[in-house]
Amino acid sequence: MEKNKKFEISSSSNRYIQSSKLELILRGSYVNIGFLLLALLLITLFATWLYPNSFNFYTPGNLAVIFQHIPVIIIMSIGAGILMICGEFDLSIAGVYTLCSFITASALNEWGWHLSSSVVIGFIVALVIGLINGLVTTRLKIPSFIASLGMMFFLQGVVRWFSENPETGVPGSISLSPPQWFFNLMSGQLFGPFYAQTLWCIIFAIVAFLLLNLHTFGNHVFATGGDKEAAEKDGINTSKTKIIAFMLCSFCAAFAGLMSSTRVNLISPAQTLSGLELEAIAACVIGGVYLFGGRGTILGIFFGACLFGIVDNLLVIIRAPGEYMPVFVGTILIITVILNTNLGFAKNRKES
Amino acid sequence: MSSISKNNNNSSVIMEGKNLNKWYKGIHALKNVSFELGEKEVVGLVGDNGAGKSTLIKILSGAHRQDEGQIFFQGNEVSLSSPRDSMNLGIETIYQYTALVPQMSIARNIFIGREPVLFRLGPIAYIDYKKMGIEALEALRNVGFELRSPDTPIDELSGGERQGVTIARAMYFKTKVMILDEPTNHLSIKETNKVLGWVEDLKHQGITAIFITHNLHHVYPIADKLIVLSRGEKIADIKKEDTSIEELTNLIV
Repeated sequence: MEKNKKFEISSSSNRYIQSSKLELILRGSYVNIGFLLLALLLITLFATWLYPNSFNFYTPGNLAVIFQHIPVIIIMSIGAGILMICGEFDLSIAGVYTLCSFITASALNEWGWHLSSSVVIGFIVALVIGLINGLVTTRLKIPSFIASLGMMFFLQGVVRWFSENPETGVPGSISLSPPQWFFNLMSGQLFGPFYAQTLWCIIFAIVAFLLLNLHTFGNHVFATGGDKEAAEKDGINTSKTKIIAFMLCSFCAAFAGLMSSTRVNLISPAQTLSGLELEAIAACVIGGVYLFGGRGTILGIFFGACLFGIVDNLLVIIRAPGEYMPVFVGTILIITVILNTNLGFAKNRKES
Repeated sequence: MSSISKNNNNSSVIMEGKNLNKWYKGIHALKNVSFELGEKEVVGLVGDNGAGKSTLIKILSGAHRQDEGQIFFQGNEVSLSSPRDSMNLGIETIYQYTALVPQMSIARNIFIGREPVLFRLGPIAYIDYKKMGIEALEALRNVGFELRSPDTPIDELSGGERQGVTIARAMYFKTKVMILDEPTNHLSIKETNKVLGWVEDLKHQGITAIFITHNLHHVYPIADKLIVLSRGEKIADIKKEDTSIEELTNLIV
C-alpha cells in the first residue's frame, strides 16, 4: 500500500495510547475542585467532632439553608457556564434574576393574572433579554462583556422603575405569595434536609450534562468556544449557537430567581446590585471552566457552585464578620484557577 | 502521467464558474473570472499575494458570495451561501490553518456539524459516540493514518497530522471537489511531501482537487492544469504539458 507510507508518522510512534475510562475521568478539570470540596467537608466533619456544641454546620436548620440556597447558585452557574464554554459572558444575570420574579409577582398580585400566565410571562421576558444579549453580541459584533454590562445597568434601572412606590417614589420590595402547591413545587420539603430546590438543581444539572455531552448542540458549543473561525469553516452557525446559549443562561437565571423568591417570598430591587452574576462566573471558573471558552464540565460547575455556597455558609456559622466572605472567595478563586491551569496543563504536557 | 491527465481533460466538467466578480468595499478583488474543473483533475491555482486566489476560494467554499456571475456544479447552477451548502454538494475546503478545534478530540472534530445522531426527536438530537469513534478511526485508516485513539485532542497533533485529519474528514464525507488552500504553507519539507503525495492520490480516488499556493514548485509536479491569477484577473489557464515553471514564474511576477 503506497498510500499507507505517507502517514507513517503516527503509526511508528507509540504516542497514541488509548486512555482508560478512569484516566479520562481523572484528567477532567473538575478533579482538583472535587478534592478541595471533599477536604472542606472533611474539615467540617472534624470541626463538628471537636466542637459539637458550637459548630452548627450539620444541624437540620443549617442543612436546610444549604440545600435551599446552593441550588440557586448551581442553576445560575450552569447557565453562565454553558455560555462561558461558548466563549461569552453574561453580566445581566442578577438583573434577569430579579426582573423576572418582579414581573411574575406583579402579574400575579397586582394585574390579577393567572399563576401559569404570570410565570410564563416572567420566562418570556428572560428569553427575550437573552435573545437581545445574543443578537447584540453576534449580529452587531459588540463584545458580550460590554453588551451584557449595558444590559445589567439597563435592568437595574428597569427594576428600580418597576418597584417604585407611586406615592412615595421610593423603590420597595414586593412579595410573590404564590398558592401553596406552587410553593411546594419550587421550595417544598421532600424529606430530611432535602427540598424541592435540591431536586430542581439535580434535574438542571442532568439536563445540562446531557445537552453538553450527548446533544449535537453541546458539540457546537465546545466548537464555537474552542475556535470560532474553525467552527464556522466547518459549517456551524456559531451565532445561532451563541444566541441559544445566551437564552439558556437567562432562562436559568430567571428560574433561580423564581425559586429564590418563592422561598423568601420577598423580591427586593437591591438584588440587582448583589453581584450574583459575578458569583455565578466565579463558581464556573472555580469549577474549571476556561475563561476564553472551549473547556468546561457540568460536574466542575456543580462542584464550584457547591464550594462557593459552603464557604459562604461556613463563614456565617463561625460568625465571621461579613467582610471576610469576599476575601475568602477571592482567595479561593485565584488558588483554584492556579490549580486548574497549572496542574491541568502539566498533566497534559507530560502525556504528549 | 501525461496520458492520465489527457483523459481527464477530455472527461466531463464537474464544476464551472462563469464571469465571477467580487468587490470588497470598492476594491475589485475578482474581475470576470471564468474557469472549468474537469473530473479527477488536479488544478493548480497560483498567483502572487493579492491576486484574488483566496477570494475565489472563499466563493467556492461558500464563505463569501460572488457579487456577479454564476457557479455550475455537475451542470446545474448552484447558489453557495454558506459553507454548509458547499459541503452538502461535496465541496470540501482544507485551509492553511486547519478548520479544527484544538481542544476537541479527533473524532469530535471529524464530525463537527455532521454528528451521527442516535435518535432525533424535534430539538432533541443525541450523538452516537460509539459510531463516531469507530468511523473516525476508519476514516483515518483510509488515508493511511493509524491512530489507536480517536479521543486524542487535536492540540496534541503536529501540523502535518492535523492536515491529515482534515483530509481524512473530507474523504469520509464523499467529497467530489476538494479545495486545498495553501495546505503546505507552514509545514516542514517532509510533511509537505506527504501532503503533496496524498493530493496526487486523490485523482485515483476520483476526486477533483484545486490546489492553491504561491509556491509553484509545490504544485507544478502534481498538477494537470494551472490557472494563474493576477490582480483579480485570470491571466493564464493552461495544461501542464504546454508550459514550464519558468514561463509560469514570468507570468506571475
